[in-house]
Amino acid sequence: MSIKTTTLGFSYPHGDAFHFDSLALQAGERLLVTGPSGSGKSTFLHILSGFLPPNTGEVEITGTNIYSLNERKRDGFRGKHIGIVFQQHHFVRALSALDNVILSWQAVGAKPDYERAKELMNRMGLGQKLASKTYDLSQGEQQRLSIIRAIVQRPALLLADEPTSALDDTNANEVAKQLIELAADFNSALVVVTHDQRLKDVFPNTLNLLNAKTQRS
Amino acid sequence: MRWLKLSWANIVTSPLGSSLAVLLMAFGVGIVSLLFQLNSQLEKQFTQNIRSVDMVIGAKGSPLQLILSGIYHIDAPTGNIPLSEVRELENNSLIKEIIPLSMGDNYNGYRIIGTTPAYVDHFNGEIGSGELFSETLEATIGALVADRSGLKIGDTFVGTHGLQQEGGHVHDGVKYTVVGILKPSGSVLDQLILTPLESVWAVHASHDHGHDHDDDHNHAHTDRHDHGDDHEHSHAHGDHHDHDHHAHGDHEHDHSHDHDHEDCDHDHHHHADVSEEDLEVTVGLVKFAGQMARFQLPRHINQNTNMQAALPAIEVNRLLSLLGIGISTLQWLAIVIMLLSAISVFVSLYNSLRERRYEMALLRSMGAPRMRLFSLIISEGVMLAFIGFVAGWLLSRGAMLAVASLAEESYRYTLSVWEWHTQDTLLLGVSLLIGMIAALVPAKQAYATNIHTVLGGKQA
Repeated sequence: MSIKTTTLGFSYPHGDAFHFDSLALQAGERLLVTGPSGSGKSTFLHILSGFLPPNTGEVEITGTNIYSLNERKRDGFRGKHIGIVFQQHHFVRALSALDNVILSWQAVGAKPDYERAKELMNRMGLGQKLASKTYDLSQGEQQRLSIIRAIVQRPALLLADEPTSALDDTNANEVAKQLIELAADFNSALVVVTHDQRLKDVFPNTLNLLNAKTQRS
Repeated sequence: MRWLKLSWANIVTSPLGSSLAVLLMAFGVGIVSLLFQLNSQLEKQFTQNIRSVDMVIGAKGSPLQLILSGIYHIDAPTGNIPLSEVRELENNSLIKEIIPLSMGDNYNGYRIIGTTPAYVDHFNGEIGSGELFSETLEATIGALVADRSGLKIGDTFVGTHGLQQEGGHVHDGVKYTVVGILKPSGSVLDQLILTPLESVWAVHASHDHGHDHDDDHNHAHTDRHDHGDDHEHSHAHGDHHDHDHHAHGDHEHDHSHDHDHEDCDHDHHHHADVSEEDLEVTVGLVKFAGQMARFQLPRHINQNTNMQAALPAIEVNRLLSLLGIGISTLQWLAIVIMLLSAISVFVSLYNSLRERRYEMALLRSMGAPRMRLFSLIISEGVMLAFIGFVAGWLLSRGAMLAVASLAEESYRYTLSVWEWHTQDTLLLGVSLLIGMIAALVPAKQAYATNIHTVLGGKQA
């Protein structure tokens, strides 16, 4: 099982409390998590990413209960097994596009695979941009670069936060297609968290967070 | 890993933010390093050349000036003293040895010193080639003189009146012959031209013969310059006989200066065959025979003779402590600048970190442990400090190069410029430490990065 969670509970100190149903995904499977803003999408994503320990419940990725690890080990585990595509595209300004991809290995002290990184960049149409600074790339290019960075280490779980909400229909479709293809090729389970209803058609399974919030501050 | 490369890339990416920190660090380091350099070179030069000279005697005037001119050959002499008085003093049982020096001429700015072979022995000077001077108008030259002037054994040259390169009267017709070149000794010998005392007397005697009144103005000018003793000149108008302490036995010069507008009834000065009692020297370097001499002799000489006695150890200490005030002021200035640079390293990192909050969270989300971010920022601070140190060190050597060329031009002293001193190692350590300490707070912030809060968690 690539990812498996029990029912998860989390409450913020000032009152908001959430409750997320359990889920389980095999390698190559995909899940869409939807819900309006404020429904707890980000909270759920951060719990799955290992950023935010839940109050109750467990998150198991490739058989490892990530919140049983200490923070240092969890950082390392995340670096190797979880790829994350953020809603906003953050890069290390000082580094080139290629070096930003290479950083995924370096962040966990692993030996970089330059060939795989370049190959992937070629495949995603960034072959001419290896040495470019990330802030010189277009929005679309930045998005593709962050997808490459997330997937390049063949993570067990690929998480994407609102990857299409800022895009028009054509581009949204294109990005969704790329995510699904790459996740399948790299044998990763894919979880996309979004309020974008257009993606429903390409995801067989949907988890709706409409009723996740149990208490309002 | 390439974390150092990342630190470097971060510094290079925001050159404006980093440059102020580097610049301040460079100035701080530059000043401190230059001070270390100057201090150690100065002390080296000063102590090396005192050797075992216990006391210097010369004409009355400033004792410091006497030491500077007599031992270091940098200032003008205070005047001349009669050789007979020096000889008389030599009989004193408290005195082991007196080395007489007679100065007043130069060749290309290198001082021509009339002396005895004892002066060379005093510095443990060795002949590199040729031989030591023995006859009148033979000259043995220092290693640096030979190197810079190109004079070789057998060459002849003409001395110029005065101690500076420019503007003196050329003693045409009296030529020195180079008979030997000394090995480099690291002492003042390197920059001197040595000749028997008789040469200096001969040069100025023959000069008196051929004296031409057209030169008066020129002489007056150089004499005033050389003696640094205007006071006595200006008072000499009414006193034709007060010429004992005028330099070099070139009475003619002094009189043409002092009495330009008076009736010339001083014929007795014009005859040039210098008799034994008229012979003069400029200074005598005295070595004591016992400790008692230190307490008795200076007072005896200062009170009972027309000469002045000065103790180099005391004068040099006084000079160094005078310089010390300036040096310690500059030191404080440098420390303040380095503190400012520490603050500036801090501000630069703090600002860049504020812009890089997301980068820090991103790095952690990619698996970089907190400690990694901490050391990333520390190494940026240390790197800034290191760049500042290198720039500052080069700056100090640049300044040293200027000082050295000035010292050589004006005083014919050579200073070493590119040496790495122990203090530089210390300074490097301190600089890096400053960079590290300044980076501590920003590094702690990077360490505390909360991914959840920074990356889109709505709830803080």
